[in-house]
Amino acid sequence: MADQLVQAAPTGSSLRIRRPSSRPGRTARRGRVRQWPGAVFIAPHMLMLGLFMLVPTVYAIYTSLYTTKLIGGTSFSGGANYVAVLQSSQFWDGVGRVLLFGVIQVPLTIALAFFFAAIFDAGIVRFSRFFRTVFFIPFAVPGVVAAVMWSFLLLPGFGPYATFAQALGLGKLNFFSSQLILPTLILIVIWEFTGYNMTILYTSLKSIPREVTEAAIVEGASLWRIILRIKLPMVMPTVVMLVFLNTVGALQLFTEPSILAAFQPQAISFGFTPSLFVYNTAVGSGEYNLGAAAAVVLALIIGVISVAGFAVRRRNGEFK
Amino acid sequence: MTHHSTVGGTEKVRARRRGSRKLLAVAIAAIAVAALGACSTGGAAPAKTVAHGCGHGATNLTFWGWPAGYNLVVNEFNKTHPDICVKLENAGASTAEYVKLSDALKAGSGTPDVATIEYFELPSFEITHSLVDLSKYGVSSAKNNEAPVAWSQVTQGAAQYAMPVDLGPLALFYNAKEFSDNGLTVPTTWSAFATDAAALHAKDPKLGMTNFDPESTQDVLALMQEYNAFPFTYTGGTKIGINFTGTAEMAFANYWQGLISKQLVTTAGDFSPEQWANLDSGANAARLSPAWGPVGMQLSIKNTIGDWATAQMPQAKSGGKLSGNWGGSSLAVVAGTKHAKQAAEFVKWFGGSADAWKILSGPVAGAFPAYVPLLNDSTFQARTLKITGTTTPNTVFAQAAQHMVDPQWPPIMTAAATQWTSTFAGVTKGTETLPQAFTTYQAQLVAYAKSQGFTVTTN
Repeated sequence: MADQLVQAAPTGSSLRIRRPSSRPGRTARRGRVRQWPGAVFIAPHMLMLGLFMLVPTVYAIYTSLYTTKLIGGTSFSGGANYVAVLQSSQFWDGVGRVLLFGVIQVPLTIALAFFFAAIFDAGIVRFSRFFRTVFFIPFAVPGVVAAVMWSFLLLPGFGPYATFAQALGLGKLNFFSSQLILPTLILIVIWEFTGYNMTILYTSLKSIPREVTEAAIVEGASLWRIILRIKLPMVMPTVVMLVFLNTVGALQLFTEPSILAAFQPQAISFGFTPSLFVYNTAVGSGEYNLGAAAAVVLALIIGVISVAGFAVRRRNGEFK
Repeated sequence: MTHHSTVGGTEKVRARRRGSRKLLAVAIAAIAVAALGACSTGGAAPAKTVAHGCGHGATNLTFWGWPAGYNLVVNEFNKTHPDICVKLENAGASTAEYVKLSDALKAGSGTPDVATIEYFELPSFEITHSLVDLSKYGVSSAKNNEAPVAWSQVTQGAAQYAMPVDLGPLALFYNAKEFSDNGLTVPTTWSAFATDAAALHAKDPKLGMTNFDPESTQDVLALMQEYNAFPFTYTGGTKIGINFTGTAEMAFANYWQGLISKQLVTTAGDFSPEQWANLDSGANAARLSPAWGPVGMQLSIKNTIGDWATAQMPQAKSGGKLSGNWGGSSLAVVAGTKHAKQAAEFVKWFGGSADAWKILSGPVAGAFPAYVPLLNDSTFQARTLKITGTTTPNTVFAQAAQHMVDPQWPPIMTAAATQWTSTFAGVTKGTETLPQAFTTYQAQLVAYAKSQGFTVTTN
């Protein structure tokens, strides 16, 4: 999941950005001077980005063009690894699964997040600050810890949820059976990330000018009309950005299934998600070249979806 | 903030503010980089370091090991060998350590002098020439004091690549009370075992004979050893034999599938809460247990403490004495070490001295020896545990330790184990049979071995 908080200016708001004055000589020099601190500030981040994202990506592409065998060593193999990945049913099985996962998890998370953000913003809930903090806490729990915790809570037959379900008369529920494993994962991830999305949407809602809401109340609009017809459209850029961020995160699903696999190995297959396929191929089977190729293919798939996301946002007028 | 064009006097103020802003920007950037640098962990650097009683000027050895109690043994060595100082580091357990070790070997730095390596993983390191041949340092004289099955797994031809430490021979660990309550006799053959299972289930459908976890790679392979149906052959070099679809192997698969289909055995995960509950409630009347099993088991059960007895494993052929090995590890000297002689001395002492085994077989480490003098020791054999009441499990386990086939592990066990979990999932879930999984797995493993450049034989 992205760890940058982006504030999007609501479209159609009454705020306008003042353009710098158009005196050529002065502006050029001031422009250069103004850029100097900015460049220094982002330099550390750019350095880290280069070291930990660009260099490994280039190295992965390089590695994917070779094949290493236990007998025979390393040799150039061109696109052979890519052919193997594209022909791997385990890999595409995983791709299909995370797409299905994303299509269900992302809208549910954002809808829930918006619902909570809206009711907290509308001030109809007492102790809203307390609840906002509590809802955010799951995001502060590291994914590994959360997955371990849920593995115990959902333990079939012995865990509290299974016993509770039996008490309710739902019979012997196995949360990690073939039918229920995906809903279980969706639930865990919704639990983890709703608070985070809610916090961003709450901030966005709070930046809507009061006059707009007050005018609507004066006009006699009901609370839900105001939320759905006025506030939601005004935070739409934030919603779109969150859809995009959550989707990319969903496509990279790794932590939760990999921890679950330690507790319920029969529930998580080799290529359960594309990231897990990469891990099991590279680290689990020692086939680092094939894993690199799979990682590049996954990056391309996510890249295509990202570009599509940007295109949608541009069409919605977000980047003028 | 918007900037208006200015004239005259305030220029100086602005210039000074710009200068101090520059300084601030640089300071923050420097702090940020330093903080980020400090945040990063030391990569492959292991977590815990232990060094005790080391003399001045002693040779320093790094030892990667995870089993409990190893720190006590290392302390003892350092006390009695002042010229060598061993530092124990926990670099993760099993596969986690093997990944770190092979990464360090590839990188050419950060390797330890000595590492704990389980028997099945030794060939994977031997094929990359990552282990020092200990026969050059006089360690081979320890052969007579080691169980044959352990010695065969650390040697290849004339070379010796590790020193055996512990073993995990299998035996039938059964609930004597439940057996007598249900009129069962201790089965000496697998067919008698199946008959007992059916009888037990007929009496009470809630009761099963034992647990069989299809997902537990080492457990199943140990049982296959005992059935004389070990599917791998490998004696070094470029030829691997993979045969999951052979006669004996398929007979093994059909036998267990029969018990699974009729629900005469449970398929809970090994060491899962479900398995312990089954053993404690009588839903499992017996456990096909490795020698290190009872010590851990008595921590996880309450109701049946004192009821458990040990007998020889049921045999495929009546009158046989065969057992299989599950687990156990060795100590290897890693290539690239600057102190091979001292490292060899250490590993020889660790796996093959009475002093080391006093601690290793003690309450903290609880290891079961491949060290024959201890195996044959009457006090050791007469030991009882809370869980076993007055019966003596070590008598049976010690016998089993000396009657095993020598498993020839192929150098592809990490990949084999990773793929196993996926392929055998259906058997646990009941969506496919064990023979079917064996057939699928055979094809997958042969394809993998071929892709790694090996010549594969399938019979």
